[in-house]
Amino acid sequence: MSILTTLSLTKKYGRKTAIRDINVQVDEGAFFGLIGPNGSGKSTFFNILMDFVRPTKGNATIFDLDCQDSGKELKTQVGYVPAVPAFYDFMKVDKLLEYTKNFYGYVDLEYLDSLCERFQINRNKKISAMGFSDKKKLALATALLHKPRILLLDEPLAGLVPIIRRRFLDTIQELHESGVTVVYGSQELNEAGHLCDIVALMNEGIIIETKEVADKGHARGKVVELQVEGDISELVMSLGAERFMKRSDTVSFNYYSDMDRLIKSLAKYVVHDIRVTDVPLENDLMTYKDEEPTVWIF
Amino acid sequence: MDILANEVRRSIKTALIIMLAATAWLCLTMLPFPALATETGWREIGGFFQEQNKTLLEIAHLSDFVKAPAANLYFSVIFQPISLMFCVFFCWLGFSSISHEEKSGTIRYLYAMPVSRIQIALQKILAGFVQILICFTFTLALSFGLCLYLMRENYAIYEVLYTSYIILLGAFLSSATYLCVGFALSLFRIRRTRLATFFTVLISLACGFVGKYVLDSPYLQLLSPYNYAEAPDVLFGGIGLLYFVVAPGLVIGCSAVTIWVFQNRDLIKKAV
Repeated sequence: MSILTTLSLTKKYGRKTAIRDINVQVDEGAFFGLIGPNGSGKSTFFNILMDFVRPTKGNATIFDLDCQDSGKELKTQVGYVPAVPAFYDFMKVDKLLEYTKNFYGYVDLEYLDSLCERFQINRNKKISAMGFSDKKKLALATALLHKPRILLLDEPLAGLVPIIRRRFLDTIQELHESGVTVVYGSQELNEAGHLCDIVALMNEGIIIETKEVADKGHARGKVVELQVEGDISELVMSLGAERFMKRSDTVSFNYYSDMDRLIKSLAKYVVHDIRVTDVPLENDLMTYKDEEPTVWIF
Repeated sequence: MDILANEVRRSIKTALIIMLAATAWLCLTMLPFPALATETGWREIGGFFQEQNKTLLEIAHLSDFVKAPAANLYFSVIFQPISLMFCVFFCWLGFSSISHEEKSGTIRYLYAMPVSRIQIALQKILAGFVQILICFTFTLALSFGLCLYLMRENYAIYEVLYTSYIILLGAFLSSATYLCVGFALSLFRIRRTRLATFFTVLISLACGFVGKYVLDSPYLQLLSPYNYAEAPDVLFGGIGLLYFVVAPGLVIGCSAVTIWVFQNRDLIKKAV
């Protein structure tokens, strides 16, 4: 069942069109990725869903409630994390959490404590003394404390250090697994690509392609990097490898076929090192839209 | 009510400085007042009371006292800065209340909460009025208390304070008007808040000055705190009834415009 629907959503700022005729349907429990470069209109899309800005044309509904008319009711079920979080500098974290809590009425305090513990949020710290990363963590905590049914994340990992990114992603994944619908905006497809069910690619205000990622990784194949003695190019190409590249003693290729067959075929060579990773979703989509490569240069 | 409390907390430091400055100014200028009502004092202010042949207690009667040209000047000097200070402060408060949230990005946080736009705008306006009330109550209570304590033997102090209250009521009305003018101005998203506030009050003052001394237009004076900053005018003429119509009219008009625009416009200027 679709819980987020937009119909011909258009927003113009003067003569500049930020987004044009965006039609999106997100099912309950889905992980929807909205991927596009800077200025592609992702934030405008989120801003309309949150009613920060009003659409020039079209409409957006979440849980059958119009985002513009029913903002107040809607927000009890929505959690939102902006790309650049901002809070009241004169407050302490504890005060801000209390302030936020009061808007929702009832909040599970144990859950709030667990969130603070997980993100290592210092509740006695003054917000003016917090760094970007800390504010991002706080933004996620405030977005989650009322246990929303849908999460709108506008570049949630931008500017975060790897360990925090990992923790963020784990949390988002856990929430998704518990049934929360996630709409995830990002410039980097790989960031959460492996979590997405559907990826919509945006550029210059329009959705260029929407692709289901039902197979999540497996069918996307593997990137194989080998440090090997001898020439294996003919062998791997005959097994169906793509994008074969050789640099000094290291070769790499994308492999979509039977992995067992590849490993057995390599047995007669001296292999010093091997690294196997998922094919990045970007590569997949670049192949998919090879005739318009500029779209995917992030 | 959380937004209201938060708004008050946000600017309480600045308000406190304004309150203390106003109190200090009132006390410092009020304390020498009894000295002026002595024989030496009234010689200095033009021998007005000598001509009237009055007793010292009668001389202390303020409505007579202010007829003296020097006293006129004295009260202008006392009250004009306080009145103007409050007007500038509350205009800035109204101006920055919404625009500051939009500029700093905290509007995203606030509006991500389950709260309607009307609630945000209304509570911000209400918070402004609460701050005006706090400011004036605090200033008057403190200055009254201090003056009463320091001049408890002098009858004139009650007259002085009574006059102060009338004059400060004018300043209160002006402040409320400027607060709402500030809210309405913030809709234009002018970048330099302080400068814009200062010029708004300055232009309005100029209107009052021109209305009073050049064009003799009472309507121009109504748009300005100028007239209400001149104590003797208020003391003799009171605060004009018309002002009690114009000031609340401006308050209601500006508030309504602010709420309507805030309800219908984009809260973020540009997001591309």
